[in-house]
Amino acid sequence: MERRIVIAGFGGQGVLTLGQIVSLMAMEVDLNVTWIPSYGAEMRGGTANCAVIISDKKIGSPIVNDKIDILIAMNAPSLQKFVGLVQTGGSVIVNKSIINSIFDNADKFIYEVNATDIALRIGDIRCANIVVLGALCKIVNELDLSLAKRIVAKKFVKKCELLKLNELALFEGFQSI
Amino acid sequence: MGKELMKGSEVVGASAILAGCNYFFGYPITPQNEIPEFMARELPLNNGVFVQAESETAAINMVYGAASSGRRVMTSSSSPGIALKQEGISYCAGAQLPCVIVSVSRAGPGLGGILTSQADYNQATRGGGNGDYNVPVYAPADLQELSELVQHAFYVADKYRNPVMVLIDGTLAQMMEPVELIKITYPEIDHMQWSVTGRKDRKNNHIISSIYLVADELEQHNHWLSKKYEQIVNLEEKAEIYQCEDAEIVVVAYGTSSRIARTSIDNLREKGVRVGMIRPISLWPFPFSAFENLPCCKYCLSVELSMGQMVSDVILASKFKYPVTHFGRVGGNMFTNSELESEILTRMSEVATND
Repeated sequence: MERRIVIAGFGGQGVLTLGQIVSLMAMEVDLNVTWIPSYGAEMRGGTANCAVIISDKKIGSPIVNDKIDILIAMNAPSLQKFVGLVQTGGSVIVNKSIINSIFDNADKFIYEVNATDIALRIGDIRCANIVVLGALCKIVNELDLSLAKRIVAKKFVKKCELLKLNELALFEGFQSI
Repeated sequence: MGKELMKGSEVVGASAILAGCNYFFGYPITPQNEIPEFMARELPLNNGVFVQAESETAAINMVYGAASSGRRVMTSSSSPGIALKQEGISYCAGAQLPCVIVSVSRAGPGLGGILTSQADYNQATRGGGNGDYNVPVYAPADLQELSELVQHAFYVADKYRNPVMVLIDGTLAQMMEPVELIKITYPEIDHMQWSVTGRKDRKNNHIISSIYLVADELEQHNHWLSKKYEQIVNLEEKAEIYQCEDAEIVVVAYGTSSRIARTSIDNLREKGVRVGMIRPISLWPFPFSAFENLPCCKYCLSVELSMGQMVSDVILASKFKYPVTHFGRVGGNMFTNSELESEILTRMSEVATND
């Protein structure tokens, strides 16, 4: 079992954090995992992305430059940049709230989540990444919703006011697809 | 303590502190800024001192000073920054000062680019400083090994009173992986015989210097250093030998490249292709002995993210018994598994034709 996940969006949408939460979840169920961000010029504004590989075997290159299993596209430029690298039978989670682009999806599973809208409706635009995590839990067997709850609570342990919001975000995301 | 999800740069810092690093001097450069960031935050909490120097040259000379006092000291930088430190590294080697230099290589030459590269193989193993000197270089392939080798580097530096380098690249520095931080216990090494800590009631002054103006004295010093390097060559080689017993093609790869190569070897083995890997862990001393038992080897592929800097070492190791060529990408690009696998299969069919 190997899952090659790319999470991409604007800086500030929490894509790197989302990748770390997914990594922590994989660790919790004793899977091998690597996380790597795009770094450098891209870091200073504009787009941000990270690649997470989850595997029951030793992981080779942490960089995902082909054969993406799951793409999480939080904005349109990210979708354009990576959708071509998603392999046949792979999945794409699209932040439908801010992405209208049409793309060739004949050989992929497309999940449309109004992540930004849901986040705004439940109280904070910044939890759009957690909404998407809820959706991700629905499509990846190894990632369980209750595990996500636990890890998210741990990750934001210093911001306990976010606990309820994040739980709601997870639930809404899970229900959205 | 259990495993934690850590960034390569944090692993460098945390492992140095585990090894008892007291001082860190550095100057910022991508892609290793998280190392000084970590040290600036954590070292003062662990009875240490962090100084951001005014330049790389200043930082390595601060290392020289701190090492003279017999305390554990580290610096880190990336390609052009390491180039600036070379003078100081030569001085540390000449004055026999133990210290650890972490080199996070990016693409060059010159300012080059900030993405992953292994084009500093020659810089690390040959060095750009003047004079007859060598620096042991360790090249980990994952973050657990990085933690071990950073600690090991401090020990080897102390043991031989010599600078030691840990060479990683942008990928290993930036990536996260589960790591268990385990303090490794090494024999204690006493620096009181030579370190500069104030004369107090000692009979003689301790002097740290690399200057020898009398030819015979310098010659004697050169011979002494050389004997030390010979000992390092004899004792400190490190390599992993993977699936080589029946391998007709042997891939030689270290660091990030070896991670990609391992997956390709596993993929090809499933199809019955007899391919294996020698993974140098010490780049200097180069693990020549790992090449002594390759009974079926007909071809060696030096897989690296440079234009082939390691090839000459692999040719020496091959003793000209089989051809050696290079495969890799540069400029910050990374080859994919399918690219490497098709290269191996091409070489394999060449070998078959020649038979």
